[in-house]
Amino acid sequence: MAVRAQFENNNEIGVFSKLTNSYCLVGIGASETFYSVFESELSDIIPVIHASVAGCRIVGRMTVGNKNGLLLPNSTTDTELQHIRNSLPDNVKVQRVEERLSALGNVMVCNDYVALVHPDLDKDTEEILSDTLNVEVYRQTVASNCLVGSYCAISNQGGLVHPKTTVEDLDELSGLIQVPLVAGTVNRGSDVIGAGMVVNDWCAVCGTDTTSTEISVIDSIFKLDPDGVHKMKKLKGPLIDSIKAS
Amino acid sequence: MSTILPSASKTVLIGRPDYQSLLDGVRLISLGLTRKEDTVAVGLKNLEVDKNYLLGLHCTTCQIAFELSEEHRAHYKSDWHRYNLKQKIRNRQTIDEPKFLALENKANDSSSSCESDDEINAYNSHFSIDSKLFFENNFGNAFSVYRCLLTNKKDIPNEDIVVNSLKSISIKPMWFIVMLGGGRFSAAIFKGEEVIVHKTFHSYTVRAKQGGSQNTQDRSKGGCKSAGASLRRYNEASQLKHIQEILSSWLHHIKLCNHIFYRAIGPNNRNILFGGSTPLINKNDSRLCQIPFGTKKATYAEVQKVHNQLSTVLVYDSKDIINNSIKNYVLKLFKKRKNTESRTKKIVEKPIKDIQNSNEKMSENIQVSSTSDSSENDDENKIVESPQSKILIENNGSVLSNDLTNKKRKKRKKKPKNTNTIIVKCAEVEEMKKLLLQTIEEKNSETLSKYLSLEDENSSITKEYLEKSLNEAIDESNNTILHLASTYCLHDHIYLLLQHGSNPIHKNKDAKTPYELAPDKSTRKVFRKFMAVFPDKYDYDKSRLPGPLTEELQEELKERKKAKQKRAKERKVIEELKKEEEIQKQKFLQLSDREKCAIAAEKRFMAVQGAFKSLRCFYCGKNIEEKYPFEYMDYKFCSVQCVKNHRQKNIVN
Repeated sequence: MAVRAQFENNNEIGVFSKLTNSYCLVGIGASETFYSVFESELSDIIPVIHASVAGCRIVGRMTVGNKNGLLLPNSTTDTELQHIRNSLPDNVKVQRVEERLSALGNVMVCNDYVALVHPDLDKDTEEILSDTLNVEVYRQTVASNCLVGSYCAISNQGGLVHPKTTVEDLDELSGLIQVPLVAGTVNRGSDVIGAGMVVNDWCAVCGTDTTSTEISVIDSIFKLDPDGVHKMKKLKGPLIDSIKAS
Repeated sequence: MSTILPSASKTVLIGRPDYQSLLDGVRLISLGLTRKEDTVAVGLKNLEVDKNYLLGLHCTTCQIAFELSEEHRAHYKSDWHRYNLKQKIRNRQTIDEPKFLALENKANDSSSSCESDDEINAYNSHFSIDSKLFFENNFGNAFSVYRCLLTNKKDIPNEDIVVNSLKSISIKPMWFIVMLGGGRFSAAIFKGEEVIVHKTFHSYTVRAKQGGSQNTQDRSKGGCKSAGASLRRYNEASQLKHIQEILSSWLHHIKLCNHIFYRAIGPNNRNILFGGSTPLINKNDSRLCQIPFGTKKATYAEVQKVHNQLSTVLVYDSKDIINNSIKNYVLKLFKKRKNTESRTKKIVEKPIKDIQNSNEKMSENIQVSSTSDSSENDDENKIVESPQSKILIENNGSVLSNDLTNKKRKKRKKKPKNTNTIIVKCAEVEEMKKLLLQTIEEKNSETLSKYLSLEDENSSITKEYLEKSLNEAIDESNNTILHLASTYCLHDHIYLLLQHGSNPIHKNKDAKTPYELAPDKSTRKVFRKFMAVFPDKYDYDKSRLPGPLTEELQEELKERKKAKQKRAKERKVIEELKKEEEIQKQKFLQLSDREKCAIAAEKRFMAVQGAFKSLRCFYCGKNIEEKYPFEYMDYKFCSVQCVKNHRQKNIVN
């Protein structure tokens, strides 16, 4: 089930963290509460790393990555790069790219196989992206919005996109990414999905404002509780029995 | 001047079978109009609603569905998708694949960036007014053909000739199209739609960022020594050579061609084609004609486009469509002309109002004329206008005479161009002219004065006619009677003619006034004398007379001449003296030193006696009697230099 969290009273989890199937980056914050949420969820499976990019805590918006690699903007300092490289597993490639659109997290979104990118992205960056992350790159917009990274969140299980995405576009995108997609919101109606939550194949973190309806949509589309349905099934029998009895 | 015609119902290419079927009972309908090409807006393909679409195998941006997932994915990598995506972001219309490919080809062909489709359409839809001829046939169809294909004359074509040449266009006409400009050359020979030979190349001859050819720059500002300049100079030369080689190798094809279309702007480019000792193309070739519409850079694609355009016959459903557009067009033209005309009239009006406020009626008249005339055509305007202005001038006197002369002059200029109606030929005037010519031939000034003073009661010539005959051209080179009198130096004739109103302002075909035709000074003086007597009778400045020859001026001239003669005499005397001196000098120099000494001694002796004779330098023979001479061994010299030279000469000897 998706976890609710807050970064210093801010619900935009996707801004301050980056979650993939092989690592998790967390912005360096004042309190350790935020970090501890991730640590409690993930620490025994993947490394959770304190990181900053160009001195900023908004690591989620500045970087893009999947289990194969991580792309950092040109503004990343050498020490930061070195720190990230040291902390990440050895099989994760780290690459710094020269790209005019430096908020890489806003202009690209990817799972382990596919990436959607901003139409104006450099061809060189596109190449580096496909090489480093081992993904197929598609230039596309989400609900006529170029900032694909901000307005959608995808994992290998599914994806959540901007609420105003048309059914046609949804079909098209899911045909492209080959995962089921749904249009929805996070953080009580916020349409910036990518900035509002982080997700990988088995875990999602969203802002504390996120309603339970949103949570349930997130859970179902990202398949976060395969045994959740199971639990209900388990409960169903005894419940009905008790109803019957009474 | 261009306009837009309704779109054609279909297009037919010249030389195709359907072209021949058009020619049944073909007639010329009207001349010179323009058209809008049939631009079928290629709308975006509707989405195919099929199962693939439902599966999500489609691109909403490019409005296209796919059968296979692989195709779908590959599409997102294509340039077309990328282009459309950017169009979509910028809220522009996306385009379909064929259009995109065409656009891409164009971008590859020309180095410049690709234009949008709208521009291309606009380019196709405007043509010069006189470039086309319109026909109709027995089926009630109307169609237009480029005029240059049928006749190479610019005037109104004869229907028979045009129709004949329309019918005689062969199944596969051979055309040679050559375009030249900005260092680019492109030429092709077409037979029907098939290209026999073609060549396109580009050389660097245009000055970067400044434009213009190096050749022109060199001529206007002198040769520049920069590397680029010499490169361009070299390229210009090599381009010329290259073109010559190409065209001469095509010569046997060119000979067979029915038409040669060329585009070569500027003297440099034209020189390449038609200049030189052995021109590549004969300038007077009857097959030659310029491409009758605007073209772009000389590229092979452009040449093909020109060929396509020229060979396209636009077929309209009926004659009425064209007639209507002609009407609209003429109306439009008219409005334009009306605007410009009323503007000029207002300018004339202003001074009138200022000068004569009391005479408001007249100015009102003008306003009426300017508004009412506008609906009629141009020539009529002129006719209606002139009596009005005459009345005005009579009322306002001399103040407005300038306006009148201006108008008169305008009228006169237009006369040869305008229709014959304006020039009223009068038999009596002709008669008078003959008589005048006779007097010139006979050189008889008495008969002339008789004719001019209208003493002959038999002739019914009035003063008006007389003046007309005096001022009208009398022979084919536009000479007036005064011109002839001036060329034959008939002084009395000239004076008489001038007296009786023969204006010396008229120019003949060579733009010479009578004064300029006068072969000698005395004839010219006659004009100037007349000017002195009648200083205000004619506009002498325009007649190119230098000034009046008054009595005083003549006296002055005489005196000046006398003084000149006197001075010349004096000069002659001095020169003679000099000559004598020179002879003496030469004689003296030929003598030996001893003889010179003897002469010197003799002179000294004579000087003692009181007689005076000149003493000369022994070396250069200069007269040195006033100076104290330089001396050595009794030899006398004018200067140290002479002494030195003399001594050296003696040492050598």
